[in-house]
Amino acid sequence: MERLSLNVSQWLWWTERDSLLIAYYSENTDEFTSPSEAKNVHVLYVQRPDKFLVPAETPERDGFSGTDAYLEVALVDGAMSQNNYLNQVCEIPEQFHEALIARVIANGYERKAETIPLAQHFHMKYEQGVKLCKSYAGKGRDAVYGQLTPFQF
Amino acid sequence: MKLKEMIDRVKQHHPDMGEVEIVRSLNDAMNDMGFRSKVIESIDQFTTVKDQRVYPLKKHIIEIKAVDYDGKSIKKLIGRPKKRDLI
Repeated sequence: MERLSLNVSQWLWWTERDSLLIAYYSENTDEFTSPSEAKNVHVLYVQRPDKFLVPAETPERDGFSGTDAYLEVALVDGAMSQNNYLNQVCEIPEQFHEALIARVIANGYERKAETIPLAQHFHMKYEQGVKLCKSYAGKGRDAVYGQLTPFQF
Repeated sequence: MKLKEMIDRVKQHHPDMGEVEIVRSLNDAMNDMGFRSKVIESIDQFTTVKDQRVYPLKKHIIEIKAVDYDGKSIKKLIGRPKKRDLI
């Protein structure tokens, strides 16, 4: 998709080829120029939750080493320790943990034909959890968002 | 809820399921829920390099919501420049 018409000189960002691009658009030349000096950039983003690690496993995400905390547990030499791994805490808010568990239970019931109805039941519970989680993510902790106040004329 | 409690709850239904299998399955569920709900937000900071406009994104980033350049919020370009510049 080609850009829409621009008429104001300004810094802009966009994404392309798994990268973030930042450039200054000049309305006079109709051209984009790269940053000419070192400036701080802050990126607010949605991320994949960090995975639970089994003992001796290292985090997939960069930036963890030594005894850094990972899912509220201290790593040992940058890896998950046998002693602590059961204390990891999921990053997804606690109210949705039940739904996560329901999906794993459903996976277990899918192994036998006679327990498929149970699998469907627990999958449905998981899907309900995803729906609520989407709604929670949309409004965060702001209770006002999306609410309509009835008014009597 | 800690991982131990989550494993215990699964084992109430599937006592024969191994811990590693439960952990992998929970990871799949977390990944799916996190991707579909976009519930986990985070912020990163880096410094621009002279004459460089392309900055590779880390793999755990699903979607960029906002960018601040030199302390000020900047707008997202809809589409891409007419002239593709790979610098």
